[in-house]
Amino acid sequence: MTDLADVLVIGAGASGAVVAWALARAGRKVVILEQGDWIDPSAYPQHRADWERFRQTTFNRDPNVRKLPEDYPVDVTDSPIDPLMFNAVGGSTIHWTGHIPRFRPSDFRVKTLDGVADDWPLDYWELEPYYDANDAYIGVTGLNGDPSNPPRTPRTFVPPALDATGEAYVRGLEKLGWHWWPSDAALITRPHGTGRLGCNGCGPCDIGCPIGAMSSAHVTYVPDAIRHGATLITRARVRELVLDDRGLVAGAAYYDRDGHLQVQRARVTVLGANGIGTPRLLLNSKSARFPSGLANSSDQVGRNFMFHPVAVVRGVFEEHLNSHQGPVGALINSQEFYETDPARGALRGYQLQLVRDSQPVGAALGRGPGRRLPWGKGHHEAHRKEFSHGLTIVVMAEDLPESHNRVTLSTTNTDAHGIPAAKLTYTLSQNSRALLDHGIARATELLEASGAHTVTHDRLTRVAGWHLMGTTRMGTDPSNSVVDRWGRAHDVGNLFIVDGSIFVTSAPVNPTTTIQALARRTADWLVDHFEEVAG
Amino acid sequence: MNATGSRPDQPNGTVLTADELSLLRSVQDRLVPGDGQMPPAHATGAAIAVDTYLAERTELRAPILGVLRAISIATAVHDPAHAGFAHLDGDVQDEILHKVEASEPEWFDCLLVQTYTGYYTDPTVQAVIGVPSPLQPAGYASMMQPTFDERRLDRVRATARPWREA
Repeated sequence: MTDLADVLVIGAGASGAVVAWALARAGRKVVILEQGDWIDPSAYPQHRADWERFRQTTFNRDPNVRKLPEDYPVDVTDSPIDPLMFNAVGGSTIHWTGHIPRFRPSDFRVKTLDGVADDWPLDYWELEPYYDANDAYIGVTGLNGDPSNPPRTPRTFVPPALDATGEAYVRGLEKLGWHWWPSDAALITRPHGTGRLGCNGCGPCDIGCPIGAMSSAHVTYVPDAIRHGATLITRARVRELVLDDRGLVAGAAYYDRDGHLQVQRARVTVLGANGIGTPRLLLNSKSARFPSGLANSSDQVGRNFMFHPVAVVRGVFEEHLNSHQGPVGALINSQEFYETDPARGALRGYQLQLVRDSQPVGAALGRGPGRRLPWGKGHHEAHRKEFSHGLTIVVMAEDLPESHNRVTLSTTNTDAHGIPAAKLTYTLSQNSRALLDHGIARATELLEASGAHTVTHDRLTRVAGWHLMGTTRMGTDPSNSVVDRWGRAHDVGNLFIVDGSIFVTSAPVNPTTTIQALARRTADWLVDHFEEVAG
Repeated sequence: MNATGSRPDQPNGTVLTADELSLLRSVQDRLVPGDGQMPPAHATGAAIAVDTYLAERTELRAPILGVLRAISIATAVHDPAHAGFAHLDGDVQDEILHKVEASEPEWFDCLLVQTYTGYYTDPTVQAVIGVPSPLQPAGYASMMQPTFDERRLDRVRATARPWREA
């Protein structure tokens, strides 16, 4: 049994790190349990010539492929999309492209505007100062002034000039007269903060940044939380949350790195374990008071799971574009098709994330079996035509919440500690399908306008489940939501959730900056109301 | 393998026998032959790389060893004199590989993936292609220096659809 903490944070990723930092800064005794470990900066593959092979192994984005001791399996037999995540200090902000577009005001009023899903119990303007504060703190690159989004504070750094890749995209965008804007990126281009170097454009941000240029949680909030006195315990796999006699969370039982079961007690517990890990933990925390899982009197824990369904569209050009150079996802974003347009045959919208292309191995392998470059005499000619001659567009559709899309517990799989694994049951909706189809056609049109001689696409990209949302959704009615507008569980007064689980709707944009803004807002509220809610 | 990831050649693998390694080199030379400045696979560390992968990832052993076995059998069927795959004409070698690719597509795909991975992560190949080896610490720093010219956005500022008030 360990000392009583004021705040126990589970997960040292994008959201948990924010709360740990804010509460430690406010003088609270904070303990963070993280099932992964620190990644030594020298251990990133980019320091090795053979770095690209680690995409297939220890730095793969899919825990079912990686299979590291700190990972837990996810049963995906009933999902056409594989969920992606990383388990380490920094969480999935190690495996991201740092693309951080914000939700728009309309994203918080989906029911009111479009008659589907639900409205959020807060609006954009309530969240806006937290977006700004988060951006200023972590360091972002971008330009304010996008007329398709509300104004925002000046970005920390101006993006680099358009390179050949960017120019090729803009050629098509200008021809079509579509919206485009340099991506807001969680990326610094000059030294910033403690020990972080400016981006040198090496490329594969998605396997972690070895120089701290990506504004990931492990180089921003986590070290600052520790400087403010937070205690971080790594390789701590939480078994379940433990209740006291009042029905409040007394702490968490976890396996330490030696496999011994420990209990960390706390007055307030905060979950930041992602849209699959958080419902899994709640469902694994059964008790007489909560026989179907903690905070689950509404039977909503695990339901309404949302991905951002993705279709990848790729164009090949005669010209050499150097499209393997530069931060892979931090380039251009088009929100031409963001808002609902009934003419598309679907509600809501999608974004076109215009990104860079494959590295040498990636070019040779293509996008899976049947798409490998030919072997034999024609191989090198094919590689010369493909490598650095491609542009890749990610069509990212807004997914709507549906009760049957859900996370449950696997009855057959466990993690290395014998804890039941998560099972994902997900069906792509007709609405999401229609959005993707429209997006594929528009992305094809754009690539052709840019000069591509060949355009191919995946109708639905399987290995693209980066964004995990909706499984403990926020709401005002305890009968159909899990947490209130502050992320506080309706059923358990000293339990908070701050990861993507609490999203009511998904918007068609990458969620991390919204997750962090919400976490900052919850943390501020918790600082002010701590004694009211603490057990 | 040394700290920078380059692979000194060696006669025997960790997992593969000398014969298997020799066959793998011959097969890889058909998969990725030399072409101009691009070296043939045998002149790189591609075969030793695959052996390294087999040592690290046991799940690769069944498909890779299986496809090598299938190639050996197909070779013996084609060439009763048992001269071995390496001694056949290139066209015949390709014919055998196509047959195995058709009969064991998953195994063959695994071999192809690991061969391409070993080949394109070899420093000599990266030097010809012109990518930094390794990527850090140099990266492509010069591309990050000039800053974006905001005048490029004039048309967007003038014509973009505004966000919806809500």
